Formats: sequence, structure tokens, C-alpha cells
Amino acid sequence: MKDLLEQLGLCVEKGKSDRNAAFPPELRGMDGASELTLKALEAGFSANQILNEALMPAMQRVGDRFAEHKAFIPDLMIAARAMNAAMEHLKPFFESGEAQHRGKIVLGTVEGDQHDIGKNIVKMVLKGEGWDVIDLGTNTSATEFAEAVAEHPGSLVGMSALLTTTMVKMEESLQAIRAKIPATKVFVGGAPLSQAFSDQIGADGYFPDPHSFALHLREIS
Amino acid sequence: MKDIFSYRPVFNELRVNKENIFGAMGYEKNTPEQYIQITDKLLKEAEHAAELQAGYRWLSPGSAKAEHGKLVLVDQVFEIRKIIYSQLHLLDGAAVFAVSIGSGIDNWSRKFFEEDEPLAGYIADLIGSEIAEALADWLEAKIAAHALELGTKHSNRYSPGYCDWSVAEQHKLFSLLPDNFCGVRLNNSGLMVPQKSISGIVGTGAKMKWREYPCDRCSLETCYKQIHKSHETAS
Ligand code: B12
Repeated sequence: MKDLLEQLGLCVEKGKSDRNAAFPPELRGMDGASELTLKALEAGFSANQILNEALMPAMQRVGDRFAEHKAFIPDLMIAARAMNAAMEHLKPFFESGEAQHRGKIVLGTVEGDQHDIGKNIVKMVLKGEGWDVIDLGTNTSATEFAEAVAEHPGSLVGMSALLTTTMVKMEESLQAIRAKIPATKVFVGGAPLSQAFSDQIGADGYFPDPHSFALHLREIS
Repeated sequence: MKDIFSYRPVFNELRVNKENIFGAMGYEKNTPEQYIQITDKLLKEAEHAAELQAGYRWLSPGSAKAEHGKLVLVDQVFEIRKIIYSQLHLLDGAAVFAVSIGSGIDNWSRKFFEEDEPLAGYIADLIGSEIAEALADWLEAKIAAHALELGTKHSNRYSPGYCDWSVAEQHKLFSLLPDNFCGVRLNNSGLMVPQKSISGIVGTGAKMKWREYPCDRCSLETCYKQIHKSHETAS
């Protein structure tokens, strides 16, 4: 029985989301994360058990390799995708309150900026971590950020930008958010960002990649 | 005299380097087979999604000069700062350029994300960035040929946002080019639309030299050229 969870963990770690996935070659033709999750539920494992004993440890292993520069963004992405395929089957249990969701996070690229890709990768990885992500897209105004936190009380915020000329919009957005809900935690990221800039505008932290961000969010949630 | 030159090169004229794409993923070597296969497949399709446009305005001797740490092109004064100034202060002419691969690749990448193929979406985006860089190299070679033809020399290319030159100066740079040049528009923040576009200048003149970017004299820690440098010294 334990083998089932182990195999599921392996699939997530290697990014094999379902039976049809051609990679990795050694798992070709075998069940992937989606099928194995269903089988684990049928076998009587609880959603929490599947999450905590198979899925999360697998993500942890990929994350550790990422932190050691042995795995990179594509590896995080395929693992997160396999994780999401498994989570699809666990969702009903989380929604019924039988198992725990981590919480909500609002993500957006700031006003005047159309750079989508960095934010989208962060979104994927956080979804894989069990966060409910509200994606405001690109060119997000301060008002849109503020309205989203008002609509989703208790949510965290992550803002992204590509250029030094667009990242300056973060301060305005942060103030609009805090004016609505003062305790909101706001994080920043993107190529030209730094911890110094985050401190300067009074944000709650800068993270260079989705993995370090996810680890921090785990700590504070 | 004609001073605006614009081109629509075909894809095969560009030197797109796959290794740069793997490098951008993080793999200096030993790229997993899975990523190589997807990259190969997408590279073949990218040709159809890219709409290549590249061009420059040639400023002949007299319409460009560098003095007191500033660069003056026609009626615009650029605060190019020390690093670029040291490379360009002996110029007497310049080529102001823009290149763009259009928004086809961006749309294609976004579609993959929507269809739950994020890895393909990410790699398509990296391919777009590499094509844009290859297109800028292509245009630089055109500018070099133009200089050679006139019996003069040229510098490396420099872009606002690099080497301590503020991206905010994009507005001045684009004021020297025709509207919608190569299909590129600037928004208020100085961001170019389509995304996969590059702007900049090349200095020309008898005393110009093509030199590598002087990264050792820049302190911008978030610059990717610096990040490469720190990897090199670390390993
Ligand atoms: C590829 C690239 C390009 C490509 C494509 C750009 C695009 N928008 O698609 C091309 C060649 C076209 C280009 C052009 C330009 N570029 Co450029 N480019 C880069 C490069 C090398 C990588 C950017 C990238 O796409 N990375 C991949 C994605 C996935 O990473 P990401 O978006 O950063 O997101 C990751 C993290 O940042 C983080 N993250 C992102 N958002 C968030 C949010 C939160 C909350 C958290 C926690 C984390 C997080 O997680 C993501 C996944 O790891 C960077 C340097 C670098 N290494 O970052 C310069 C860089 C972004 N470019 C820069 C500049 C200046 C330009 C130009 C203005 C140059 C010019 N004059 O032509 C133009 C602008 C283009 C435009 N549309 O206006 C500067 C910007 C800094 C500045 N001075 O403002 C950079 C930082 C280079 C530098 N000088 O160091 N560029």
C-alpha cells in the first residue's frame, strides 16, 4: 500500500502528470499522478494523507534540488503541473473542509507592464503548493489590486514587474491595498527587483524565484 | 539623403542559438532530453509565429556627439552615464535602432498556458527572447556593413536599461524614430509593445571600436550579465 504513495510521489517529482505523459522514459506507459491519486483515494488514503505523505514531500524534493541549483524552473513547472493534476481529485475534499487549503493569494503584474511569464510561473508553483491563486493578469492598476484584496479578505498579494520604470508602480499599489486592508502582506518579484527596493517601499519581502517565495509562504501561513 | 532603413528579414537569416535557450532555463550543460525535444519542436513552429522587423536611423557625422558625460543625437540629450560614455565618447555619428519579432510568439506562448501546457508556454517565451536577440545581432551586422561601406567604424550596441543607462530614456530614443517604427510602440512607462522588442544605439566614427560590454565596471546586481559573471567566478 505504501508503494502507491511512493510511486505517486515519484510521478510528481518527475513531472509525470498522467498516463499519457511521455516523460520520463522509465515511467512511459505507466500510471501518472492523476491516476495514482484516484487509486490512492480508492485504497482508502485520506486527502490529507495523500497530500502530506506523497505530494508535499515530492515537491519538497524538487524544491531542494532547485535550491542546490540541480533543478531549474522547467523542473519546478512540470512537478507543479503533476501536482495540480493530483490536486484536481483532492479538491472536493478541501472544498468540503475535510482537508486544509493554505489560503488565498492575489497575483498581478503592475500597471504599465505586460510581462506575463514570470507571474504565470509563480502562479503555477503556488497552486501546486495548495494556494488558491487569484490572477489579476498584467497591467493591473492600484485600484484593481485594492479591490481584489477587499473582495478576498485575508489574502496575500504578490506583484510582478519587468522594468525599473514599471516597478515604481508597486509603491502606489501597495498603498492602495494597505488603505483598504492595512494588515495585508504584500510581496514583490521580477527581474529588476531587489530586497532593498522591497524595504524602500515597505513591502513584506522580495523573492527571486517561486521556490524561495513558496518556502517563505509556508513558514508564515 | 535617405536616413531611415528598415527590413523584414526571413527567419533563416538569423542565427538562433539553442544553447542560449537551454542556458536561460538554467542548463549550462546536460539539458534533459525532454526539454531538448520540446525546444526542437517549438523552434520549428516559431518561424511561423515570428514577424521579424528591424531598422535604424543613420545619423551622419555632425548630428551626433558625446560631451560632458552626455550623448547628443540630433535634438535629444541622453544621460548615458559613465560606462557607455567611456565606450562612445569618440563617436561622430550613430545608428538608432529598434527590432521586434511582433506579438505572434507572445500569443502563442499564452495559448499554451491556457491549454495547460505551461512548459511549452515557458519554452516558447524563451524562444521568442532568443529570436529577438538574434534579430538585434542581425541588425547590428547590417549597421556594421553600412559603416564599412562609408569607410567608417562602429561600436557594440547599447540599450536603455543596460550599463546604468536608464530605461526612462526610451522616450527620447523613440522620438528620433518614425511613429510605430518596426511595429513598436512605447507606453507611458517606456515599455515597448510588442514585448519581444529591443531598442538601442550603435556609435559610428573613425575612432569607434567594437568592445565587449564592460561588466566589471557596473554594479547592477540584478543585471543578468552580472549574474553570469558571478557564476563564472564561482565555478
Ligand atoms: C529575456 C529578456 C528580454 C527579452 C524578452 C523580454 C520580455 N518581456 O519578454 C528581450 C530581449 C526582448 C528583452 C528586451 C528588453 N529588456 Co530585457 N531581459 C530579459 C532577461 C534576460 C530575462 C527576462 C525573462 O523573461 N526571464 C524569464 C522569466 C520567467 O523570469 P521573470 O519574469 O524574471 O520571473 C521570474 C522571477 O523574477 C520571479 N518573479 C517574477 N514575478 C514575481 C512576482 C513575485 C511576487 C515573486 C515572489 C517572484 C516573481 O519568478 C519568475 C520565475 O522564476 C532579463 C534579465 C534577467 N535575467 O532577468 C532582462 C531585463 C528584464 N531586460 C531589461 C531591459 C532594460 C530590456 C529593454 C528595455 C532593453 C531595450 N532597451 O531594448 C527591453 C524591454 C522590452 C520591452 N518590451 O519593453 C532589464 C530591466 C531592468 C531595467 N533597467 O529596467 C533586465 C533586468 C536586464 C538587466 N539590465 O539586468 N529583454
